[in-house]
Amino acid sequence: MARINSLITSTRRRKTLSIDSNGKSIIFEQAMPNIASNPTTIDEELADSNTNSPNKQSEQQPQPTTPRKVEFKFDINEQQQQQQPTTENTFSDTESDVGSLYDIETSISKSIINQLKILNILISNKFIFILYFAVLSCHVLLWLVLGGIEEGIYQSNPSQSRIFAGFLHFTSGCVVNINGVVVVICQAVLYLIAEIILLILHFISERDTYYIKLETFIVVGMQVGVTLIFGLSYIGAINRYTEYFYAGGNIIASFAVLELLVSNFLPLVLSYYNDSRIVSSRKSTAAASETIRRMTMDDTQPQQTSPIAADDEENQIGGISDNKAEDRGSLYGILDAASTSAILILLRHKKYSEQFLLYAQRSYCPENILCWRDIEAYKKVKKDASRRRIGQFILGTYLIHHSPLELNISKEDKRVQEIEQVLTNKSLPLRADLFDFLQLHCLLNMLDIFERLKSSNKEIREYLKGSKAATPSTGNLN
Amino acid sequence: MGNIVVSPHDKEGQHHMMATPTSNNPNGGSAATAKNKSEITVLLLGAGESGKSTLFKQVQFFHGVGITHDQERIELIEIVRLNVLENAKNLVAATQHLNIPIEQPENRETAKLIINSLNTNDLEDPSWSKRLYSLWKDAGIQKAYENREKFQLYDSTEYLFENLDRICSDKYVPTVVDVIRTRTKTIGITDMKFDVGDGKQLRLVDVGGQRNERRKWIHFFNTVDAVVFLTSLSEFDLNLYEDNGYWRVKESLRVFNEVVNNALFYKVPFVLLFNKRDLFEKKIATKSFSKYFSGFNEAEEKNPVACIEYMTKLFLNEITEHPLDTVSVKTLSAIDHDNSKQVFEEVKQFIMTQQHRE
Repeated sequence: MARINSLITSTRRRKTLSIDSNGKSIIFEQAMPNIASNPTTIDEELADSNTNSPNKQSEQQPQPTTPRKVEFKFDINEQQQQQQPTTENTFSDTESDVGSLYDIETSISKSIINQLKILNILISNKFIFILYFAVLSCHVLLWLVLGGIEEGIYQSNPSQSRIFAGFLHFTSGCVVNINGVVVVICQAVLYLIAEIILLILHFISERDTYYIKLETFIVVGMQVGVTLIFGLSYIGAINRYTEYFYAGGNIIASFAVLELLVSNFLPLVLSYYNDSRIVSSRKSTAAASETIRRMTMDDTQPQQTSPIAADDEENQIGGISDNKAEDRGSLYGILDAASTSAILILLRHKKYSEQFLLYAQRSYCPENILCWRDIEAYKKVKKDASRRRIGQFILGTYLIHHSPLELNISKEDKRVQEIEQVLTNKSLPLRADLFDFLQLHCLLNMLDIFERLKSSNKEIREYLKGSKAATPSTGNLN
Repeated sequence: MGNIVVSPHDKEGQHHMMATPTSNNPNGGSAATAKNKSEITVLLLGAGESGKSTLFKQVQFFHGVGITHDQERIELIEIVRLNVLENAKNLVAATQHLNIPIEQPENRETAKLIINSLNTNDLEDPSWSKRLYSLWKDAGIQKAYENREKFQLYDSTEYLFENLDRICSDKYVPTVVDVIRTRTKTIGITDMKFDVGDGKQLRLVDVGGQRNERRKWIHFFNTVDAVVFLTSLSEFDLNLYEDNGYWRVKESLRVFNEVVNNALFYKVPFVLLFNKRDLFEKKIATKSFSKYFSGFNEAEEKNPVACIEYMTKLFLNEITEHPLDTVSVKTLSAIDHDNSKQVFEEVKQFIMTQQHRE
């Protein structure tokens, strides 16, 4: 029962996505911590605005209506009345694949919504209450039926040996006979097999968002310990002394209490603690992104970002590769030591980096910082499979049109399209510098918010001045 | 900050927009509560590079915040120089793309350095002023500049190159005009507040304009009391930064349509500002306006007034839901300080009068 309990609580803690009453908008909670930059505000606002704005908005097309004669004033003196011209060729294809302002929810497909609805039911209080009730009545029923059968047999034939002491006999346990032992051992073996399988699954799964791995390992360790102690306590010589202080029969009961503590009580405390932290500092403390952050923020010396296509001979003037010439509007070629190194110092500082992120979240633009960090995580891992996983995540979260945290980047950029191809092509291993240009783009995007932070936060401004003086120049990033 | 009246952010870096979650009233429309509110929220909306932040900076400036102070502007040296480098780099890349050779060999050398190694720290050296200026005056670069509608280039390019002798110096402190002229892509949402008399405060909200940034606007749609929509007059020959190949005017019209016909804004005063009038007038002198608008009378294409009037009709024709008596149209040249001040004052008056009428 304790196990089931803990399973249910962990399911509750796994609460991921919920759907609001009209089933139209999706409220991200913990599963995608990066999105819910500020779960208590942004999501509510989103939900609010969704309920407020009539649905028809999304259907409103920029289709020009019948020309209206309009009175208008503007500050040019010569005002001429002129019949509205008909819509000309240049406007005939007003409709295109470009998403509208309100496409946040329409871009989520129906099957995902259904899936989320099911998840939502699974984590609802109603469902859990019913489950508990079903489990309890099952046990009572078993007791009634099996006890009744045994009682019946015993009544009709009192010479039959009993397994239970008696239907309503609570003062002592089961009568130990060979049948009873066989039943208990079979049960124990089944439980052990199940436990081993689940343990293996734990090793395979990569994430431990809600510390369930940790919890399991503690409980398994405790199990092994208790088994040893229990076994030892039956050795006569030891038994004689220990029994004097602590009754051997209590060992299993104590274990049950401890397990409840680890699997139920502590997680509950942890989740209350996290909630209070979110409320007080409006901080998303989802463990998943934390792990990524921790990976990216060991206080190592600022390392140099290696730019893509560094100093290849063919990048020289007179022979700029096509790729470079395509960039036109973008600024990837400029790697500016002075202006981006200050941002890098900030990003690599444990405390200020969090402040920077918080500030960006409040200004609705955490995506550049989060993407930069995810790319750092990408560069840290060595295994191709892990790289692919993080790479896919970056592509799906920041790059694809309408992705949850789409970056402000030119769609024309050939390199974004290249990333998509490279990720789908499994035959070649992923290069560590695959996302370097994107990381640089994130840094350049951060310039605006960085300046705003600097002008609003004196402490950071002073810190940056100090660190600049200490490290005269990080050199040319090229 | 040091200013009591206007402070975009308080000392702890707390953002006002998040510090006042109660203003995001989910039930009441903004118009219903507007009468009793002491705060008027004005949104600056528009597609990318329409001049929202320029106007925002101007308003900051004539309210004596931010860039008024030298030490604030010193922080922006790198941004200005980065702008110079971006422009230079984009121009050099464009000569490649358009197959226009850079003529002078020494300018070719400079271009090579720009692409490969130059950074903002180098611009402290005054010798770069000459080298970059000579590159700028190179016939090849000038030819690319004439064809600038074919690639992405900031409006401030010419200004920055003409002021290189100041910028390339270790004593350089950006002037207010430099800062106003500097282009930084706005990311996310920022705001500022200032008093407008009657115990009321005006809260001006600046936003990013590219497509991905627009999804963030919705966070403010509930609380808005007035919308100022900016569109650039000079974008008639340009394509989008985020989607090269998509005509900017079309995008502006689309965004305008979505915003102006939004049910949340029915009762909200709406101002349409045609920005970059200065650039527009220069541009139509050399470029054909009617080439892009087949419905426009070709004989009139050198007359800015007729062109602006045509654009006005184009935009107003998009209004299908919003009551027209609460819509005002003005032209603006946001880089011009006096013009911005005057237009913003008019906009403020318009909004206040509309508020009183409620």
